[in-house]
Amino acid sequence: MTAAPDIQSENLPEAEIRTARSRRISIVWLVPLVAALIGGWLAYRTYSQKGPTITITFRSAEGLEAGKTKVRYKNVQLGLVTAIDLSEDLGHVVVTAELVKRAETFLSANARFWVVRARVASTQVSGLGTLFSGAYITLDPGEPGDAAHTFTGLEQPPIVTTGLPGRHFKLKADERGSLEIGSPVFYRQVSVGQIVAFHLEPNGRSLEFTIFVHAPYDKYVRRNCRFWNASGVDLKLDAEGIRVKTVSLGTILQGGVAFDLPGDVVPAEAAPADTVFTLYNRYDDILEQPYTEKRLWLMFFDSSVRGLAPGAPVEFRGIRMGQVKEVRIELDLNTNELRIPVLVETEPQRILTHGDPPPDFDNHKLMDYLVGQGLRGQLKTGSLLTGQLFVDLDFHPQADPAQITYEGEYAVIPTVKAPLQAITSRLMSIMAQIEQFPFEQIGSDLSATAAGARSLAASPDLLAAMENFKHASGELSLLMEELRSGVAPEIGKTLVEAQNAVRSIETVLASDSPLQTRLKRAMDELSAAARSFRFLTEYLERHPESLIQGKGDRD
Amino acid sequence: MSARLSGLLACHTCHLLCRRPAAGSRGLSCPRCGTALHGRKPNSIARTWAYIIAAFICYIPANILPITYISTMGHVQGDTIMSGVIYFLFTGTWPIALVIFVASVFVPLLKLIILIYLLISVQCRSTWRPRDRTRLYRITEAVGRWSMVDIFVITILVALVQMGNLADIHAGPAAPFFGAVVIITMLAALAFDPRLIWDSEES
Amino acid sequence: MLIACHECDLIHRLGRLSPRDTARCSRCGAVLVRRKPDTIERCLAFTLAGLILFMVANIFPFLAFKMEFQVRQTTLLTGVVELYRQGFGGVAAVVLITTFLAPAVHLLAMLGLVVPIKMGFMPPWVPHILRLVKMTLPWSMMEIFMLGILVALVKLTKLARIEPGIAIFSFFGLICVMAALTAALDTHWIWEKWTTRRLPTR
Repeated sequence: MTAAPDIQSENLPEAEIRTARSRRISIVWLVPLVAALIGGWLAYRTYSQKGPTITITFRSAEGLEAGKTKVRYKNVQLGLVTAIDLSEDLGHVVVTAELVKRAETFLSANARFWVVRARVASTQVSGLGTLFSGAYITLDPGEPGDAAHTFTGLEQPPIVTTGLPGRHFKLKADERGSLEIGSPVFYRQVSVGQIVAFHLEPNGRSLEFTIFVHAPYDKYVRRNCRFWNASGVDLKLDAEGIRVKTVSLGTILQGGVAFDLPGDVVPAEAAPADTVFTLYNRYDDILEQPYTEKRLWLMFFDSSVRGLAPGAPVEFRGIRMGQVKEVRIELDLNTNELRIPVLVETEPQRILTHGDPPPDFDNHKLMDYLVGQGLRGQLKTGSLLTGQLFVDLDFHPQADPAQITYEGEYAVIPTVKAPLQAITSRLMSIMAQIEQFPFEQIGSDLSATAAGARSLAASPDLLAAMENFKHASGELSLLMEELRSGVAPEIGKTLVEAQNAVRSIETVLASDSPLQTRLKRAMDELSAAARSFRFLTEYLERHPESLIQGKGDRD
Repeated sequence: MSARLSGLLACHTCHLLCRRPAAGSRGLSCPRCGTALHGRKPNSIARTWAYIIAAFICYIPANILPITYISTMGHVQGDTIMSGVIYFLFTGTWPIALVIFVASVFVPLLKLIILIYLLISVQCRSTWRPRDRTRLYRITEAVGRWSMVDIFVITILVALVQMGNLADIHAGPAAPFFGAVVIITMLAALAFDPRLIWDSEES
Repeated sequence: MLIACHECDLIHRLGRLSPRDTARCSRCGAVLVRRKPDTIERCLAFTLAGLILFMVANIFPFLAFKMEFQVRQTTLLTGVVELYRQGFGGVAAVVLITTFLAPAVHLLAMLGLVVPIKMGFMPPWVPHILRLVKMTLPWSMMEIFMLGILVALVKLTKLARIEPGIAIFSFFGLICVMAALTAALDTHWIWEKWTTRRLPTR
């Protein structure tokens, strides 16, 4: 229901009117104009700055979030991940990212993308900042090439060398030897580069490593440099003893490759990029001249070859001549004999020769000659600690004569017993001699002699003879008394006179020689007299009873 | 002379004055714009009271329950509206504390108190200073929406601080209650017909 | 013409009002009618500006939160989405309405009102639109949102760096434009025009 408006004009108050200030009209259109301008400019800028959209395939989207994960290069944000989807076959993840406009310039097919996450691995700890900032995708633009918008992402961050000054080289090795991508390259124990990649050769027997050496160190890689595997600790335990060698603590964990000139050779010019070098297994290997000529010999040993390993050195008076190739055991079916042939390999190039070889020079004749001179093979202990043996070639003049014989195609060098073996056998023979000694016979003789001596000491004859002797010695002392009191003064007088005479003779002798003659004569007489006296006393000694009984015959 | 006493109805949309037909004021529509015509806002007092009571019911959990959960490095801290105010006070930014306090605690309460007073004054047919009471109503209506500021603060915080373990802000259970308080008090103010204040004066 | 005060119900007679005049109630001081000059021109201008700014404010990044290495970009709607994700769908809906839907509806409604009038005809939906505008006006709370941003920034500047995005400035501009739009709308004039062209035949 509606009602028509009604107008009542009395007692209605007038509304109060207030007039406001006037304002210009046209200004108001500035507002939408400005807004439109700003909006339009923003829209244009957003559109023109819109960079390429790329897709990257990864195995997993771990750490990636649509709308959040960024694409960065050298820490500058280049783009944002807009979508993450699974591939058709559910095997991969397809990441769509929008990049800034200038990324277009280095998006070539050679660009590589990978996700930077916190990684802790034996060769590297990296990306820990992403624990706070979140994972991000980074790239290596690579060489410029055809533009591309679809990429396959790498699962592992590569070693980025694009644009870095330096050179790549290739190393060939038999085995990987705990080297990994990222393992450092050392020169004089300074880290100068890294292993960038490696792959197995198509023939499956060797590996090829690609290394990158940074400038300015790349100029130290010369054509005649040698590379060796400096991984870990080089521990050698062999016949030569124990040797420990390591490049750095890092290489124990990471592995590494080192290079240097072998020995004191003159450095050649710097090697160009991508030169192929051989990777030796150990430092010592690089010092070895490669010996190409090798000769094989057989040796038979009677004793235990425990401790003789293939690769054990063959030395001549301490100088390495070669190595043991093989140790076998053989049974001769005809003779039922067990033998241990040892195959050794010598490198004749190790011997420096003097002079020119005579026209009929023959190696075999040389060996015949040497063996004739006593050259023998002998097992010796290389290291008492490990008990490892090595083969020593030396001249043994006292060895049994022998000759080179032939077993099949190999020449056999005769052998002698090992030093310890010789000592042992000598001891054995001494023991045998000692065993044959007539100990019993000597023992019975000794006891018989002792018995005889005892019976002699107890006989009565001996006792009587002892009594007589006692008696005689008493007589003798009486005699001596008499002599002293009776005979002796006479003799004394004579002696005094003699003395006087001598004195006067002396005085006389001093002047001329006939006196001396006379003195000599007198001396002779004196000595004769003394002799006679001596005879007397001797006689008395022998026959003390003659003083009493006289000089008669004894009964 | 008020419109009601003159037997006229005013359209709240187009301000047209119409004569009230004798039959009553149910089911009338404005001839100009077609809006439903009412003498006074329908059921104003009852609806306003209902809203006020509902607002009070919601006001208690809105202030007791935590309104934000801030977790840094795994340590979660819940904040009620008041504890947020105190935090601002102690960290030296007291103007912000004042703003939050006024907007989130003071204003809703003030609105409710004013509305209650107005309702009571109308129901008691008080003639005390109707112009001022109308002014009070105007203030209530104008200022009510500003209480929403706390809800918007939470919205911004929740939007910005989502750093996983590092820092994280979640809204708390008080948030819907507080939002309800603001909305209900706004509805209450809209439901109240200020012309009722003048009716007792007229008669 | 006669008008009743919407706050005290007193009837007033309204004389001729020129643009920029304000008619107030003699009893309670409420604004009865406020005339605005060039209302259609201005409303159209502000509506267009508002629409552009609204789109910019919602498309471009709003605020960026930078803490350590983490950067988080947000748009105007990020908060709504986040609240919904945390399980506060009601609050999210409220925020969505008050900061997105109400302003959008306001702008679109104004567009639908002003454009036909500018082009010279009075569309039949004028009263509906004016009613819609009147309804949505209290629920359009963008300026309060701005205050909320300010408070949140103060709380967060200690933790991290907050970077304003383009949308912030656009949002600020939008608030100003919406306020100007509300101020430029002269409903009285529209109703007069509506009355003269759509006078009921009865």
